[in-house]
Amino acid sequence: MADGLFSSISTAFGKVTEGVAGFTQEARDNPFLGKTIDAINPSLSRLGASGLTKGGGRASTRPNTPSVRFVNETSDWRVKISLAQSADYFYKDKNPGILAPLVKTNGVVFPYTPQISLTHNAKYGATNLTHSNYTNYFYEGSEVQAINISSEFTVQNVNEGAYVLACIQFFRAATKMFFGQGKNVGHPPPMVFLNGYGDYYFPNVSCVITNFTHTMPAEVDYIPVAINGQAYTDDNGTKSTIGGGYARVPTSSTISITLQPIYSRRNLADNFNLEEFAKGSLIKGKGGFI
Amino acid sequence: MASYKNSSPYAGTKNFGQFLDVMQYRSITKKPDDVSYVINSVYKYRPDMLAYDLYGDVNLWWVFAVRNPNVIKDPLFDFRPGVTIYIPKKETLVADLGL
Repeated sequence: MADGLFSSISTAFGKVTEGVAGFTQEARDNPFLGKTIDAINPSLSRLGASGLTKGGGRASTRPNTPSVRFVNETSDWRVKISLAQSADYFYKDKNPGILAPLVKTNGVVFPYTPQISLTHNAKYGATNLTHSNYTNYFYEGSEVQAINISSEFTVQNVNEGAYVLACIQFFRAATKMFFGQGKNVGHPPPMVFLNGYGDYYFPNVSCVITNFTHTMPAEVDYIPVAINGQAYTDDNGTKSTIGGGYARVPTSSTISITLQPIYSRRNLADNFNLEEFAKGSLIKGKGGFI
Repeated sequence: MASYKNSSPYAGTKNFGQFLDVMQYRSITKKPDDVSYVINSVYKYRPDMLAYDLYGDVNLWWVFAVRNPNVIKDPLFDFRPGVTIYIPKKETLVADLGL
């Protein structure tokens, strides 16, 4: 009897599963999905869903093809961190080594929309006067706090793996000072510039990287990425090779960085004007004030 | 003597009283600007409905099979989703079939 009960339950469950699968398949194939159906003229509605017009012509837009356009789509609005234009180090070096993938994009471009948090602060000191019902506040100063950026990086082929590896190496390097040997010895970690979302949100904001975290999950695959060795001659005439060998890169990982916006005192004194800032005049190409 | 309309596949076939002669194939000109169309679930096994929607005449259900002889052998059951066919223009049908 128990066997019979299980059998009937199993059969019923199978039918339900089959029904759901059939429904989802039907929904996927349904050309009307997401379209307005013309109830008055179903003929036109059917033709529209099929990308045809009366008489045997083709409709102006193909059916079921999403058409998504952004204003001024020629400009790259992705979030990007790059070096100064005049820089001659890291990926702007004559031989960038494993940073070479960053040359084409002129910096690190986040492949997916990152999570960004940005805080603007105005500090007021509180003073409690004797025999007073209210606290008095005195303005001390304002600041733009550190910008936290966190984004997913995925690797599906060797080129993407090389790019992620280059990003990691770039952030590692950009949090260190020029020390020991080589040119620029004694210089602090380099400035980087944050761009993204058009001209008025992150307008080439000058920053330093104060923190870099790469989270490598345990539950994803790690694929080998071959790094081609590149022979070069350095400034002293020494011939050597950068790269070679291979690295294993996670197919999905998260990179988090903290950027601290920094403006030179000269730039602030010469260019900052709150009224102009409020109008948005100091954003695009005028110091990158945010 | 029965007569068939110009929209019928038998319009060019002779008949003797109640009997039809050997069927005379009605050809449809293949134009380079004929639109290719992947049959979807809307018109699955319904060439008559497509003919009505395109040309306003259900009797032209057979023109798709004639225009696409290599793809559609059975005018009804080969008219299934995923099959790519060419759609003749209405002007072509008017010229070829004398509609």
